[in-house]
Amino acid sequence: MKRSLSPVVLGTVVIALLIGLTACDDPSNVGLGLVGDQGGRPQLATASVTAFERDEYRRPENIPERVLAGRVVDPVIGTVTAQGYFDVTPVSSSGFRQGTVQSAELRLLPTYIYGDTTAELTLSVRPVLEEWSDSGLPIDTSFSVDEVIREFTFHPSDSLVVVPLPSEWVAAYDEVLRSSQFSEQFHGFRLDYVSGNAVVGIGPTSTSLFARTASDSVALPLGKAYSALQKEEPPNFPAGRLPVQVGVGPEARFIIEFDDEIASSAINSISLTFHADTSVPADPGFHRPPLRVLDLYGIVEGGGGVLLSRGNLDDDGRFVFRSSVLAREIQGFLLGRRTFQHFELRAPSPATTPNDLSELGLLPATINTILLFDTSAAERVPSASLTITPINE
Amino acid sequence: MSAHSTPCRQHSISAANLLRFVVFGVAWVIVGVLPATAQQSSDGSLYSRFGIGELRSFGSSQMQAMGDVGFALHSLNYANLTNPGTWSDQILTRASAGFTYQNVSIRNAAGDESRLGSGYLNGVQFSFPISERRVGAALAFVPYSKVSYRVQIEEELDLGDPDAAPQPYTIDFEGSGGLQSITGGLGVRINRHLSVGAALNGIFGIIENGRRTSFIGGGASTEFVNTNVSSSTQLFGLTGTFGVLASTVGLFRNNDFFSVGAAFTTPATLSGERVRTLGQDLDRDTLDATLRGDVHLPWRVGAGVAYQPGPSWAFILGGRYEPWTNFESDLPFPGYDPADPGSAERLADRIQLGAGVEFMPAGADQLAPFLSRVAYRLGINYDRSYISPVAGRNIQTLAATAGLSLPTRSSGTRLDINLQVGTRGTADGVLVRDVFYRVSANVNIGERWFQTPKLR
Repeated sequence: MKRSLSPVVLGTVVIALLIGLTACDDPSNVGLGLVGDQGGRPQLATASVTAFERDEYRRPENIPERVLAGRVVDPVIGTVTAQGYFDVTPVSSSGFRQGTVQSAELRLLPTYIYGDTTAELTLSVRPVLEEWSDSGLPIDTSFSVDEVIREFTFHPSDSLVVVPLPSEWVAAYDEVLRSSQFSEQFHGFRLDYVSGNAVVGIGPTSTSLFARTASDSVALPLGKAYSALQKEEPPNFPAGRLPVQVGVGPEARFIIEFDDEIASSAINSISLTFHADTSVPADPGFHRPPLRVLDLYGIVEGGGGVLLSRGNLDDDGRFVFRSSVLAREIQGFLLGRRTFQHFELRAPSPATTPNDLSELGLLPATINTILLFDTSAAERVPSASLTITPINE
Repeated sequence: MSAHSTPCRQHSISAANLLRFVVFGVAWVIVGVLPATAQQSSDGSLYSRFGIGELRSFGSSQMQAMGDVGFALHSLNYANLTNPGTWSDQILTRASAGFTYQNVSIRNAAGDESRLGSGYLNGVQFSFPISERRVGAALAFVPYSKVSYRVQIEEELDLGDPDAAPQPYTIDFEGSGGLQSITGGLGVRINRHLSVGAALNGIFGIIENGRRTSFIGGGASTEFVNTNVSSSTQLFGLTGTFGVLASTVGLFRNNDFFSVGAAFTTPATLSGERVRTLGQDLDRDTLDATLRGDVHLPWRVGAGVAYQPGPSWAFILGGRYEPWTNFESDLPFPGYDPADPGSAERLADRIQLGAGVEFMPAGADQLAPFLSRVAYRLGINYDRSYISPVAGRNIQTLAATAGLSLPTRSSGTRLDINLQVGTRGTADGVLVRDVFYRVSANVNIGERWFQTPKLR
């Protein structure tokens, strides 16, 4: 019998063996002389950060804020006044609706403080008289309110502040509180500063309007919230510093000036460093929570921002922005693929970091602040360090 | 194997035959070509960096094992792509494809050595008789030149921070790609001693040279972006090949077969476009305006003789000449700069010589034992490169070739396993010495198509 082979089967086996052999690579610098010195060696370079200046704060949209209220006079940063608007969410309970409201109280959970932690703070409560939305608002928007319902005093370290509402208010709002049209008829409260030296944050959890009838009770939880903020800087604001303060502003903007050598090179890495002044004095018991996280944005034509990197305040008091995304974007900018008008430093927002803001201590709202050394500082000026590979070598 | 071989099976084209060819082709592309492409395509000889790359001249798998130069080699089992004059004498419709694995050991003057391996497609051929043993046609897709090299250096970058460890990185200088040739033509037998043929060749391809800087290690290296600066040159042009084959039977002894063949390929002007890009990992940006120009390839001529004293033996001898000192290009290539008059000193006229022998114990006996029907081939090849990295220093390649041609169930179909071992260049100064071996597998399928059976 004639012996023979299937060419496809045998050929496939041989090919598989050959392909297996192709994995045996051991490249080295042997033959470098034939290639010649074509460059390709990365080197360090620096670029100038210029036009480092204040920028207007942009309030993020649709954030589940807590309610900020009070006034703090910070001798370094300035005076911040906060009016806290908040609404409550109706709860359907037929037993409650069929009775008469006998009592009502606000249950407020302090979760944040900026200012004097040793003294008491007095706030007043007013009903809001108009429909309002918490989105797209400037930071200092006001809505019409009624007379003060009552004032209350508490210590910022209190675990829960209970504010009984007067029986006159309860009687006046009995039908509203039990109405199926509650959302249309009731527009929430505003907390105003009366005395003290702190801005506190209320909620957003464990904060409610508690109401009771003879047979039932409901806790209407915190709904939308908005804090109208005003800031006044002291005349003796430290020279050579630029403040970045979340909630009220300002933020920071700057440009980076790349020289011709960098512009004609491949960008392997870029590191932007901003030094913070962590030695700002404060009186005993005065709490000034620092802004520990900043986002670096590239602002494109039309004003939109592209998140480029995130920097955390390190042990040396620096925000260092460094990532492969940042290097690629800067490369795109130098090649004309990106057109950044300027760059900005902002506090993280829910638009770009929806999941981890709470972990960063930034949500709900705060007025945390940081002072950055500006370009007039002697040694700790903002800087850009790069690793580049010249292209045309 | 030889002109004495006579296929015995006759049947018409059928859906099964067609399907078998399609499956064969697809299987080879999937098994052979794609994985090879997916692996390193830049792990060959450093000398391939220069000019338009290392020139390739695949004539057939039979020729590959017999010294690679066989302008007079004529076989009913193979289409000889180097000479269209041999295409007239065909009986079977043939398809063939092959894959080569190459391992190159590169040694420099200091004795340092690197070893690289790569795989590539030999070519795909299709040939068929239009009028049996009188007029035949061939189509082929074969490499024309190949650029495949890689040199790597590893260094460290001092980050300028006393607390930070130096950042290691590598720079790879690498090239890949090359030119391909699509050839199609006819061969016509004028009389029983003379055949002529002509083919049109489309030469095209992309040559890439690049420099890749990569940061290695963990930690800070994740904040670095690897960059790749490369230039991509796209070329296209046409050329023609004219061939002649003169043969006679019984010249020195009864039933011997002697033939002389020659082929001439016209000069070609390739239109070129070069684009320089900067890549960052997966991103790639064009750096500057596209550079356009012509590349003028010289003519080439080859000639050879073949002698078959009987059905078992075949001897070939041949040579090729290409006046590359006439090479001109508007676009610069490594080793050649049109603005540098000294570039001419790096060019040399290419000379390739080869000789080989084939022995098949069974000759034309299709019923002989398997080992007797195997064809055993040997050959030698000399090649003087057309371009050198150093002016006045020719780069020469000397290789020994060998091969086994294994029969299959189908008498017109064979599997060829070829081996080439050789050296290229010399380890002197900046030059290096390559020691390479190549293992090839080629499948040649031949069946009778387009013919209605006479008996039903």
